[in-house]
Amino acid sequence: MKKFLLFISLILGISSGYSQITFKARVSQRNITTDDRVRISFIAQGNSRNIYNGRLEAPSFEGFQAMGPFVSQDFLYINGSSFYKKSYTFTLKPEKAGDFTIEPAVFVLEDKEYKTRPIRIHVAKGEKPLAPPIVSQGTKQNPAESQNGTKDIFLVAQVTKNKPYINEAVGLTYKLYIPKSYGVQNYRELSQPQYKGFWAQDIDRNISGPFQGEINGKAYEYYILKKKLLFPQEKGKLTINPLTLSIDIQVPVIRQMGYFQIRDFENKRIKLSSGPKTLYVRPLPEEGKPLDFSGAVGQFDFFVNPDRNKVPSGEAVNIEVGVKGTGNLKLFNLPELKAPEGIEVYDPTHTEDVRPTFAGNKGTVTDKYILIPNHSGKYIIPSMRFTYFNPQTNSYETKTTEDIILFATGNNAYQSTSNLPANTGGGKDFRYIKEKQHLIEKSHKTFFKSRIFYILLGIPFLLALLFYLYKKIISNRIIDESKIQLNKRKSLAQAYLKEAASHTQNKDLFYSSLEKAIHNFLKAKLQIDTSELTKENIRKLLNEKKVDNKDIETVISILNNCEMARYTPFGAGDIRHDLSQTEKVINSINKQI
Amino acid sequence: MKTFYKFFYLFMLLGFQVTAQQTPFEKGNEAYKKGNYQDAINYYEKALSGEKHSAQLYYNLGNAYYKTNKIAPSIYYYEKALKLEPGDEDIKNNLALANQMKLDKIEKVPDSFSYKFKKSIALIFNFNTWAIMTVIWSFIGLLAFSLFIFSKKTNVKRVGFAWMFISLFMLLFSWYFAGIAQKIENEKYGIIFVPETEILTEPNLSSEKVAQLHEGTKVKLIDEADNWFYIKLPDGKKAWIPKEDIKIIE
Repeated sequence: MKKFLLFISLILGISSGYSQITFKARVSQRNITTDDRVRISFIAQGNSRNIYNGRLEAPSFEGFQAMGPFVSQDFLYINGSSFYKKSYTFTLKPEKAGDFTIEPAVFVLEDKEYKTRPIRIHVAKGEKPLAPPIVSQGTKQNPAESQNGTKDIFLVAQVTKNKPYINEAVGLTYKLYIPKSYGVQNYRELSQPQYKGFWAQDIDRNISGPFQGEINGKAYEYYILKKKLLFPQEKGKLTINPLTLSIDIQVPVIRQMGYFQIRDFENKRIKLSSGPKTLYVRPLPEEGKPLDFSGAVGQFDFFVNPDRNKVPSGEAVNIEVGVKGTGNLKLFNLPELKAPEGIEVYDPTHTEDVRPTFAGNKGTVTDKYILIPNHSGKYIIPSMRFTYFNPQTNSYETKTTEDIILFATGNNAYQSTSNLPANTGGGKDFRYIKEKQHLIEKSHKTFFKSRIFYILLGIPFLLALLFYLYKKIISNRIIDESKIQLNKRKSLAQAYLKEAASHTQNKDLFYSSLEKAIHNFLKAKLQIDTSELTKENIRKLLNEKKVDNKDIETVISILNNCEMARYTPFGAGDIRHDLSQTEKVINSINKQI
Repeated sequence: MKTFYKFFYLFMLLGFQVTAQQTPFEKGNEAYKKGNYQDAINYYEKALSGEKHSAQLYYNLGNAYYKTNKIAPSIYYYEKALKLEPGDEDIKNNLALANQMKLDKIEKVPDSFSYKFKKSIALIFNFNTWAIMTVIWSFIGLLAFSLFIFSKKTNVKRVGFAWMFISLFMLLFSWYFAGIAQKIENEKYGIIFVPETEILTEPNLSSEKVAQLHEGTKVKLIDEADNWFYIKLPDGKKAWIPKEDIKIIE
């Protein structure tokens, strides 16, 4: 039998040697006060995967209130060999001052027991009064009933407002309340709320706590799991569906061990739900809603700031248009800057310096514009309005900025027109007023196309016509007169010729009559006056009229005869011949002219 | 005692004459010189209340409004001044500066070259001046005609004949441009006097919006109905606008 046992032990020894299991206890601190907590870990380590099947028999932790254990399993690979590790961690809260010994813990694996060494911990008196002894409500005699222990754990969703306006900031907090005696090990989100109808932002993703709280007069500890900032986007009833958690907790129980009652903790995994949360979202009032309202809700300041007011034309001015305050800062558009015709405006750069709070996003959003005046001159950036709804006063409020006046100074247009846009035509300077005025009637009578216009326009034409007619009548009359004269002279010539014929006996009278007859005839024919009746002139004029040379000579010789007969005593030629010659030549010339 | 009253009246008369010598226009100029632009505006407006007006008065008023940063009235009075003196460089210069301040940037549909050319000639004078020129040329024509028909000297006749045709041509030329200038001047324009307004497809407030216009923009008035003007923008768009938003340049 001994041999057999030896054999067994040998095998076991081999196997135990093979499995090489160590079991140790580690403590974070050995000297603490009653205010502190101490963490104790029991770590089993071996090269077999088997170790995960092991079981811990925790000591009683006398003098301490224990939370845990937190169990972790690790796998290590060191220098070509694998190690498996299983650790149990408890958090211990001293109940009173004094020296305490933590009894050895036992690790049971395949009927073998491994023990740790006892650990002594010195607890000094802390500054805070000790918490009163815990009345462990969750403690039940029968572990099977411990399901009821979850009644003491709450997951609560709290909102800052139940009836917000559309776009008004709502803070949402998820709090986990647990009795002080309980321990929380782990939690996992089973279902994330869908914030349908909301614009949701995280304020804080991390768990914080524990904080002290109270529910129905009972003291609780609570943890804040999440903080959210919500902006409702739809009016009416909006429901946030619940957050569901799976939590590993430790419920204190009292175990009946023979005659002893042992305080212990029981590990449990429970499911918790925050329950749906319903908000009644109010629409923004229609009454008094300004036309330019763009959906901003909160408390804001509005500013429009240029970096300078005087600028050489062609250079840039920066103008910041921004809203500062608390509210739905990221959810509305800033008013757009309107620049005058002569200024080039570039698309703004948007900056946000905002952090989320329960009251809304807090900070500043800014649009930065770059403006370049094309020409020199004065420009007005008109005043801008920003309208928002203030949920605190339940009314719309408007912030207005002043007009901004920019002066673009003419950069030396003579020297540097090249860097100006082509259409500037150089800088223009404002011209001064005029000192003198030229007043005219306001009721301007339109002269053009008026009756007087047509009359004045017609007068010259009428006059021209009259002048023309006048001229025609005058010239007619002149012609008539000359005709009359001609006839008169012709008849005179005939008369004198007759007279000459009657004076054939009297030489003087005959020739003077004959001369007068010829003169009158020539005067009528050549349209000349008596003064022009020289022989040379007569010859010349008759030549011009292309009268036969023979006739001209005849006329001249007759005129010579006349002079000879009248002014000299010498007897003249044949009177009858001269008379007939004269008649002949007059007829002949009459035919030629 | 009587002599005292006589003197008193004399002084009164003198005093009255001294003040009467300075017209509101001159007072306005004085205020402007001192930089009291609002006073200047008041004086100029007073000067306008009479039966007479002048391009210079409108120009100075436009200047005073420019100085006080009032865009619409400034542009409005420059436009009025320009209507009386279409060729004045100072008015054009300051109008261009005032136009820089307005907000609307409307692309202008360019006129055809021939129309632009004709328009630039037509606007050298106002149409009444063109009409007077027409009449003058008709009289010059008469003179030339008279020279032609009455002179006995052939040289003078020739000159008269040539001038007869020149003046006939010039007469028709100025008559033609008087017509164009009148057509241009009879086009009614208005300046938008409200900071911001919407123009609509129909003359009622519920109709569709065509565009948004701002103070100082000049629009052509085509038609009217009740309290609405039918307008044409420089880019060719047509729409309706409430009458109270606009001031007509008359």
